[in-house]
Amino acid sequence: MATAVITAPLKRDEALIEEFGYDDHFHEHHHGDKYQSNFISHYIFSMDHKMIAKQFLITGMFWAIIGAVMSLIFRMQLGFPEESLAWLQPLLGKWITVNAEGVGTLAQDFYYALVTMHGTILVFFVLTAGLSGTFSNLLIPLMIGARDMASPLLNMLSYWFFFVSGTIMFASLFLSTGPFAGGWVAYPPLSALPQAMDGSGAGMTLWTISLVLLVVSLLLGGINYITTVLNLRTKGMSMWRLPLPIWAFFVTAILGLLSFPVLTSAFFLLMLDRGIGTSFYLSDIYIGGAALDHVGGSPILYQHLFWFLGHPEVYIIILPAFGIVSEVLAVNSRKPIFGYQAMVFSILAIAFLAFIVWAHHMFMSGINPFIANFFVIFTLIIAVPSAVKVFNWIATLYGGNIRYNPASLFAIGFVSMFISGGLTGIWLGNSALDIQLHDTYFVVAHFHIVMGVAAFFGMFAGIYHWFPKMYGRFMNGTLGKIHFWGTTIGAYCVFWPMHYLGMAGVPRRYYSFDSFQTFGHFDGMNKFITIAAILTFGFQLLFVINFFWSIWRGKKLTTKNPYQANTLEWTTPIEVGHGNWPGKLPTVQRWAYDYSKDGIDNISQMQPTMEGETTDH
Amino acid sequence: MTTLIVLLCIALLLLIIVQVARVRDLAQRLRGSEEVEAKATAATGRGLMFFMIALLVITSASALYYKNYILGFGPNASASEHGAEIDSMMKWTLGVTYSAYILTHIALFYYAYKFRSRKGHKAQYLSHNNTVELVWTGIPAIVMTFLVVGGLDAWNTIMSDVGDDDNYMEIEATGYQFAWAMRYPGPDGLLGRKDFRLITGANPLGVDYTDPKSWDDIQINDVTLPVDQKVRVRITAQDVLHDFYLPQFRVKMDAVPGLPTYFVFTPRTTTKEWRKGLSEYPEYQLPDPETEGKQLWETRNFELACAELCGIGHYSMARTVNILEQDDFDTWYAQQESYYETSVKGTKDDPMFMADVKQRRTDFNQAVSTAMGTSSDEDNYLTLDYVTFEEGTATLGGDSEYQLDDLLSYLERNENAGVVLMGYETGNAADEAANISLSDQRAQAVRDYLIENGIEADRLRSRGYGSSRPMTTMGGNPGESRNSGIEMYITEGEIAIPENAALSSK
Repeated sequence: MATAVITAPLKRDEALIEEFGYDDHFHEHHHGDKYQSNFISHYIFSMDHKMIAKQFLITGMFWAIIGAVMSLIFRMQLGFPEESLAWLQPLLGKWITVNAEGVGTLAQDFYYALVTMHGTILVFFVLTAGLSGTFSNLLIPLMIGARDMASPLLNMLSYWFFFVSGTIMFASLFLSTGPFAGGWVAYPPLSALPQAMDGSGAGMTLWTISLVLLVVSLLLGGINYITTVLNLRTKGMSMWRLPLPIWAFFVTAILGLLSFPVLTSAFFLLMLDRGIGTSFYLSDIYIGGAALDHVGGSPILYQHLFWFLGHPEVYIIILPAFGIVSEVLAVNSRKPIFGYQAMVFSILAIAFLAFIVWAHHMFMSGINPFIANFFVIFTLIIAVPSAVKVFNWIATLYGGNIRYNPASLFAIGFVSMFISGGLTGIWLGNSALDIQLHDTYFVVAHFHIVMGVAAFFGMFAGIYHWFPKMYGRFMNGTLGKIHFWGTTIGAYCVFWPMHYLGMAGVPRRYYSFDSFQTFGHFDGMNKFITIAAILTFGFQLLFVINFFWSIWRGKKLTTKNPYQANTLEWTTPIEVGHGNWPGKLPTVQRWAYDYSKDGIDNISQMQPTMEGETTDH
Repeated sequence: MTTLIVLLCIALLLLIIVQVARVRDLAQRLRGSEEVEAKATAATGRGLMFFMIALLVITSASALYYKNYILGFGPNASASEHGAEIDSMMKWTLGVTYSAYILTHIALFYYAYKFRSRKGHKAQYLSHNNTVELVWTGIPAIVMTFLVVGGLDAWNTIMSDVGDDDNYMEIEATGYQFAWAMRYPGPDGLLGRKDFRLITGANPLGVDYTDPKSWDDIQINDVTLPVDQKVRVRITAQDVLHDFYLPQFRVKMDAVPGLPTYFVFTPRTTTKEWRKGLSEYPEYQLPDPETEGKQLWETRNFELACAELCGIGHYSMARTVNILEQDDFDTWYAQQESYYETSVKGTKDDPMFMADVKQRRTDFNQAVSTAMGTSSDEDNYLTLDYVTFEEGTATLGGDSEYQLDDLLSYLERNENAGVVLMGYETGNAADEAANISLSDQRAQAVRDYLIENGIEADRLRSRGYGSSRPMTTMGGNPGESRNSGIEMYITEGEIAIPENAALSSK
């Protein structure tokens, strides 16, 4: 295949920038760095996309740890209901009820609060804001050859809205009635009526305020990502030359921009129902010894509005991981991503379909069963572009020269998780099977593997891969590999058995299974899952240690382009200042995936077509 | 203390791992990285292969191990007719997805291993291949088409509502925090209307008892159904969302306040048959920890659960589902009593009775105004027909208060009016003294009730006559059949025991 002979040696990056670069006179109007002149403008109210990316990442890690600890606490109650949790009293106070024998159990209210907060935090704060916020911010300007985001100010505001949103959510944990406890989907009437549950009082009020602020943050971020990708691509960077992560971030931002406002409107209507007695979602309710005045609303309306965001949301979470994994696999296989155009089209197809499948969350909610037909068809069509992506990733590995490092291992692990979790989507998208599987542990297993674990794997792959770009040092590879194996094995141990629970009919969101004979066979399995979850969490601590240790003590980066990658972020200096390139902006002459072409290991995007080069890619 | 030790151990363990990792990296630098890296690559490659094999073997073996707990397999074939379709759909889907899982995992990990980085090994430049891509777009598309068609065929059959000429039985399930209540239609086969505004302690479902269809409705907690009979469950919720979930029957549907939903299904296995089926599997031959001396299969029941988060008691909404042969069901059904008959009829919650009370009030007020408005003394005698007493005592009967309250409110409105209450009793033919005493006490009891409720004592007098004289309102005829009870003489101004022709000389 590689019969072409290239005679001229490859030019060095510096020379390419010098020769072909675009001079936007960046250095001339750059009197002192107003963006990072002091501690506050550098580290706190920073407008530099790289610093904002780090802020999103570290805030996301904070939330991930909180969310994970919450899951461990409720898993302990589920796995070991007879063991005392009294030792958690110093942390949880009145939420641990200690009986006469001194055996402490988790209060039901707080069990549901933890389940709810775990979901909310992981979905919105970690995998939406944390994942997308980190990598879109870090990579979009660096990979498209831009000095910064289109609007650094909005970008800064985006983080600070996220921060305020998080602060409010965090504060709600300390309410005497507890945080919101009605499930992360917050279905009314449960979420609308303080009589229905303690957490639906002040907890729910803070929850909605917090999430509305988060939506503001995500929209500010999203508008910025879209504008930046459309307007600030460097010379030569056509859309078809964009590295796949940028495609993924771009489409993710569009998804968010179109769907999050619908969620906000759903929340506003819910606030009105809660606050001033409207009846958008409420009708025919008798609760707390009284018939309420609300008549004419429909709880199902909320579900439609919620899932109109909620389904695109899962792609908002997983698309960035798609992009990251595609890039990491290509770079570490030393091969072009297989079927670049197919990968882009499948992202676009998935994003389009994401908007017309929402009611597959609602097959058993009382919607007209006829309507379900359309949603089944569109849902199962998603399997096709998803399958194409999986095959293309595998094909990218085929014939490669694969480096095993934490990033590539997590990318491989991602594909495995995406397969395992994606295939069960074929079960759940089929409304007939959903009769049996809806709201069971099968669903829990499905979405945790396919968008929880898989998205985390994408995030880990990204962090290990681009850590040197963020901090100028490497993370420890051995620890990274231990982290990979522990997480992969652990995640399968936690979530695989949940398929069996679900197939046996065990419903999710149960505090205890003792009331039922049908669901009571699985004590051993529940213990196993809990132990696996604790151990898996331990490996995440290892990652956190590795992360912070490496920021200050990791092996230093000595070359600009440690992975011999083609993309522009590796043409910036090791210590990237504001503006990313000290002089001219690099220009782009080719796509990002010329690895091992014509016998040359890698050809930078800045490299013009060379004499004798094969033109087909 | 133990917590502290455990935490210390964890911290120590993490420290050790970190140190080992550092040492390894250091060693790598000392020993020449290429050699170490080659070794590490080989080890990781073997690890990937080993992981792949272990994953596929363990996931498959554990599936087989748990098979007999899983719905659709072993003894857990669906207990409903439509469930059989779901079971078969599930097996098809399992077959397809499991093959895809195995094949893609083998490809993924084998290629990741085979094409690992080695010295002198180079990657191939393979950017795309339209034929291959077309094939692997086409195959999933075709497979999905089959699954969609099969799934939708099953779905539309299962979810279709009953037709007009179907022979079915309709029952109603109501979810509330935190239990299920069932309502059966009774002999007329029809459920009465209900309205959430009518809910009270005695009418927990808010059934509208002006609807004659509701009078024979039966309200119970557990579900009992005949085998092979099509059932339409009308599913409602009182407060928040619930979900009517019968795992063994593959039935699941949200209960939505304000929007009744339904699920139509036909049980095809009786509880007895199901237990017999379970008894053949070792998983169910274990002793039941709940019931001494019994094995699990002997005590298993079909169950009703909630499958939509509804509050802190969501996990506890358990009901038993009992499937009987038709004959047994008929016997059971015949034994159930109408809720209206047992718990509502003649009480405040009975709108029919309350309508009666209203009518009586109108009549009473009419009679009193006639009494006060005409000069005829005859009209001033009125019988308190609806004031009753418990057998042989002077305790007011349950419904007496309605008429007494009518009298009370008349006396409150007309402060000049006074009443003489006269008791009559013919119960003891042999013992006139007892008759007089009882009738006196009863008249007194009525007087006391009025006084307790705020009528001045000097406006009220009472006296018992036993059977010594007939009620005035009976025309003074001692032969009249009804000659027990309370009669009143109502007048304005000064009241006195009325002297009357029929009055005894006492």
